[in-house]
Amino acid sequence: MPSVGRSIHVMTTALAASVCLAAPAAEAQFGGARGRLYQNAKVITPSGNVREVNMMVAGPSVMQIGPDVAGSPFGPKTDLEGRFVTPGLIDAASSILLQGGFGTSGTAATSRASDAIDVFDDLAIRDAWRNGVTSVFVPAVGQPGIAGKGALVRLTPTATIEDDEAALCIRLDGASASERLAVFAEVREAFRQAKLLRESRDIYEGELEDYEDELKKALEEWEKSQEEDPEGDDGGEDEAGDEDNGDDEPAQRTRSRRGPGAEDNENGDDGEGDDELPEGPEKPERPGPDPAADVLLEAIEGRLPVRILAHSSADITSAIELAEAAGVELTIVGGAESHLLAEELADAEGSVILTPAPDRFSHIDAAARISTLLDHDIDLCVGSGFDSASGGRFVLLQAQWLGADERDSLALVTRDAAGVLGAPTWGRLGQGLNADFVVWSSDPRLGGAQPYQVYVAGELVWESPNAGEGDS
Amino acid sequence: MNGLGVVTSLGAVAVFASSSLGQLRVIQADAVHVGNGTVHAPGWIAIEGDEIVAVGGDMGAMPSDDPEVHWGAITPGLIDANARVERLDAFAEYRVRGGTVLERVMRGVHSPDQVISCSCSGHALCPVIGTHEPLASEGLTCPVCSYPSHVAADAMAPGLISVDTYTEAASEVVPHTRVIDSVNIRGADLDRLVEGGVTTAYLSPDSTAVIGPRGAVLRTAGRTSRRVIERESDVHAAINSAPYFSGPSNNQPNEGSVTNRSRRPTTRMGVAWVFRKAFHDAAEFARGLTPDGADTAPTEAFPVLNEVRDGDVGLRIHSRALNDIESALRLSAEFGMGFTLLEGTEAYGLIPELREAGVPVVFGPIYMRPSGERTAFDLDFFLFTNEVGANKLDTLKTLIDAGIPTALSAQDLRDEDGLARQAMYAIRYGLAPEDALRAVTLTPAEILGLDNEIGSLEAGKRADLVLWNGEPFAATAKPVEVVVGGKTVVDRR
Amino acid sequence: MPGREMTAAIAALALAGAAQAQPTERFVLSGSSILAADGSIQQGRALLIGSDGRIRRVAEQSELDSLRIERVEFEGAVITPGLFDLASFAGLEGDNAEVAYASDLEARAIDGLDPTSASLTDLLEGGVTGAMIIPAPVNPISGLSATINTSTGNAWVDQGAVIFSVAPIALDTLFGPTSRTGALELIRRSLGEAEDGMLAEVARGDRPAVIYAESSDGALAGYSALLTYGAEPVIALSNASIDVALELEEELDEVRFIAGPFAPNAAPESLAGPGLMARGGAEVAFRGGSAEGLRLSAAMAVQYGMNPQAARRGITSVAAGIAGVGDVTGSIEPGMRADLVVWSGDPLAMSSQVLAVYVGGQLVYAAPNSTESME
Repeated sequence: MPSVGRSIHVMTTALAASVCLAAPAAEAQFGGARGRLYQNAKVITPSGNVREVNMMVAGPSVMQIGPDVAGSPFGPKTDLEGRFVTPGLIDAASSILLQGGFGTSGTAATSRASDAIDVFDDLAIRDAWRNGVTSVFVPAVGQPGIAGKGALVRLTPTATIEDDEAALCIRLDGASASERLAVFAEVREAFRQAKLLRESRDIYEGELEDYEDELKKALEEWEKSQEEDPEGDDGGEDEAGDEDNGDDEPAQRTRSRRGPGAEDNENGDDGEGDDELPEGPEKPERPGPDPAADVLLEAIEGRLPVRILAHSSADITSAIELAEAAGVELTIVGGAESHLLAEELADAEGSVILTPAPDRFSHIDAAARISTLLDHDIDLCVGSGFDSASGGRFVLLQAQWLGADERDSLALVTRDAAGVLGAPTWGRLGQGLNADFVVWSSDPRLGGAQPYQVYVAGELVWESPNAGEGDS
Repeated sequence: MNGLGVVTSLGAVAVFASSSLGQLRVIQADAVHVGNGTVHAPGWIAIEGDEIVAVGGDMGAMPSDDPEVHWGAITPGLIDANARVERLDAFAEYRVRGGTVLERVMRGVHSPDQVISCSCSGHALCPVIGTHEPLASEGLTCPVCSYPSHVAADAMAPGLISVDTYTEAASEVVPHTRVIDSVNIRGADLDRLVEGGVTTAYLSPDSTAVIGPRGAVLRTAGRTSRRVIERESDVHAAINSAPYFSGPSNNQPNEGSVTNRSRRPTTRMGVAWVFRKAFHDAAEFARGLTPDGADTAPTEAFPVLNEVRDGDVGLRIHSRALNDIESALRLSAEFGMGFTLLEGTEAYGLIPELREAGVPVVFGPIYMRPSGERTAFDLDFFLFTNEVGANKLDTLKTLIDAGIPTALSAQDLRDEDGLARQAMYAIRYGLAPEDALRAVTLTPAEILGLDNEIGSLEAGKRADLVLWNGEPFAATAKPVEVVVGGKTVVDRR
Repeated sequence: MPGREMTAAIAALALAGAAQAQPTERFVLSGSSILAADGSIQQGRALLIGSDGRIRRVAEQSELDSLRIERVEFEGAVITPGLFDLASFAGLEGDNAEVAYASDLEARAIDGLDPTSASLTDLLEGGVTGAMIIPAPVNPISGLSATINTSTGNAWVDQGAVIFSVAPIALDTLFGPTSRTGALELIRRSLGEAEDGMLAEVARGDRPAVIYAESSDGALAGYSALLTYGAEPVIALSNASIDVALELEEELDEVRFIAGPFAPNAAPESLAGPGLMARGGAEVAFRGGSAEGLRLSAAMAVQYGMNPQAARRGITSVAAGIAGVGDVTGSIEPGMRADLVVWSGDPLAMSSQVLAVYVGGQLVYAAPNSTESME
């Protein structure tokens, strides 16, 4: 049995998590003090084994899980009667909740999928629940090109946007060859420009320092010359000095002490490059603000993952090239022909979110695709794609349809998806992790299973209308 | 949303129905308008099952010591004797049922090789038509109307299958078809009617054929399979400009290519000719001859036309302008037929003639600008022909005062322009309130031949009633409860 | 029903032939489980296949172990009847949309069939051994279906159901009917006037009929029109079938329904219909368009509440029944043709692969990597 200290620690985590992430689940915190014990669950582990365990859920998180977990004899209990339990499924690339589908107008790196998400679309959320899906990644999808930032969304009764800057999404799948080339060139150029911007900022910083040094030097010389000529106008100097009291910026202080002749310029904005003093240095020009480039820089500096929508081998090659050139970590979304580039993807340490592909890729042997990717140890998961009507639906079915075998299919839409998406509390049932889980009518990896109950943040949110009806 | 209200209340009814069946319900109200001119103020009404048991103003005679008290008026359920189903309501229905995900419902599951590209005007009705080309260039279908898939026709107008019109357009003479086949009797438009207090509706086809399909009489609520009161009602003829103005246009054969659009009418004269020839041919057909020549109606039409001539099947003629109403009177007299005049915007000019011919009128709607623009939407350009220049806002009063049996209809108008509001306009322009009530209850029931079942609050009639929040046709009036067949189908309390 | 009589005749012929040849027990086919007639997957059962190509016995594996005949064993496999796709265009090479006449009984699916078509092979290798093929429903009276065997392309029923259609594609703006009003008028008149011939058989309830629609109200209007004339129509509808289920609630046990094909973006109203109907007692089968599409459509219906057993019946025995051959094939029962598919798992699981296909007791397809497992 775990010590008291440990469970307190877990509860703290749970509370912290609920404060940060799950504001709508506030009332669940009251239950959190005691916790509810779910008995006799057949949990399918990520490796495909089935373990009979009990699970203590406190508030929105799992407090303890294991075969010997027992709650207080008077605490609330739910007997799951030996039903199969999995973590809530993850739809790793979904257009669910996107209001009105995706726009056809231009988008930019600064746009966010979260801005287009209707968190109150309970029809869509219920639809996802009945498919066992409790969390999704909603990529930004606009025109081919840099599309914006995707969002990690947890399907609580009113959807919770857990991260509205989860990843930078780029579409390389233009409709025609010329469009694809143009889009790729455009994206690469944008990254190049972003890097140039960073360089020019670095240069500016350096130049600014030099400029200040030079100015200081010039000032010292001027002061020296003033000392040599004590008949200079001291009053002007003092007056200017008072005005700038409290201003630490050396450049300005220096400027204010330039001398009586420069006073006219003092209240003007940034009177740079003062050429009144022939010996004064030229002030470097500050590069203008560029929020779109800043987003790309976040990606380049590894603070923002990059997910690139590409299906054909040509587009995936472009994506790999782009990732190398820009120095970003690579995730391919779509990936109909990703198996053809499995080695290159493995070398680039890329991961893949498979989605249903356009019809022109229908000839591909899906099972071969997935086994090739798995053989190359490429991190893999599955999404429902870019049709908002299919968002959050049939993910397990699609994982199998996209070629995963019975054992892998579940991992692809739970643990592996959480890994690829960088959402550590998703996709697994463990201490301190989200209490998002699905109780199934039968083994979900085999045919004919239906969700029986769906729990999100420890609350029962959906129950099958046909609950209780068994299958063979 | 209006539709949602109805859906919920229908759900509630299912529960309510089983317990209320056969149970006596007594409602006491500020005023009970019987519909025939009598008003009990205050009054009460008792219903049991789907029937009215008793109505009265004598509070002592009330069959219950503890009646429900309603602070407002009770009227019979309104009857629209010339309702038309709004084509664009497809979207309203899907918005209600699909929430924000209306495109799901619209989405066909056709594989690309089943998709037939089409530029039919069904797509032209799509509210997001501007996105069609960009979407199509990416090989995507429109999320609203599924352009370029032909499923669009269905999506644009569930129940109203045809692309431009729900009247069969293969011929100008199609009295053998029936509008009920093209109507979605689960449609949200009926929900909107009942929310406005309309409990019975005569569904008219549109007027794109000279002699169009037969109309139908429907209850606007209740179990859908039991809504239909009359499947094959009157034949709907159009003597106005719609047959050549609306729908796919008629024309002469193009370089020898004859289609079903190579035909009359393309003018007012053509309309009269097609009407006359149809009945003439029907008479020939009855004598065993085979009619032929240009513009001959399909053979199936003749038996129905003969029934019309014999008076076994009713005839309704839709005319707005004075000269069209004259044509209607002339043509019907030529074949010795009676008819019901629909819309009749300029009927005020033919009062003696109409009275002499014994023609009942289903007048309306009352517009500030007759057959003119009602909204800025392009669609109305096709629906309204601007053929009437001189309407009068007191025409309904003129007709009723002249003793012509006249009902009031809102046609395709709903909600704030619906039948109750039409009655309000009529009252504003001089009609007595009780006459206005009669024009939307008992008179239409008489015109439909259903006055022994509905139309007034009398013992033995069907319990169709509307409970208003105050006076029935005041500007602020709205139904707070609508009862159809004894069951509450709208409850706004 | 002529279709049924015809198949009965075929069956009788086959039986007569078999009787002459003294059917013997040819081999035992076993996996880990079979798909039983009720749609459940039963463990530990095996089949005894006779030399007449029929199933002779269905028994516990241990019972058949003692027999000294050839055994074909697939470890861990599920043996099901061959799947059945309905309202399919498989094998209809080229254009199958005959648009010359609005009422076209002369358009017969059997005449458009190319028995060597690759689409039939695709179906067979995907586990679909039978299909009811139809001419494209582009006319109010679109023609006649045929029920074929995908391994040979031979027809069980060459002149099957009359296909009626009230879908928008059945309408024609230039030559009419241009509206559902007109289409239904044509259908009603044709049935009412028919004194003999196929439409008269439909009106007598002697010949099966299918009403194809793309909206729930279209399906209901067509269904009730056909019912009025005495026909017993099967409804083929993919969209919003939940409305049909609700509307026909009280008579569902008399309804036969072809659902699908479903794509992942199908509306919940469409997906929930089959389950609701099956629950009310309707016979629900599926239209897949392809072998994978067939299983996917059924699996999606299960996700939206259809009982898995009903769904499995919907792609096997119920479908064969609607196609007019339910007494010959489509279920694992003694006397039925041994049209069997060996799967790596439940056919409702999309990860399941076809390991082998038997038609009439003959192995007609073995998956490339499955042969080793055969003994």
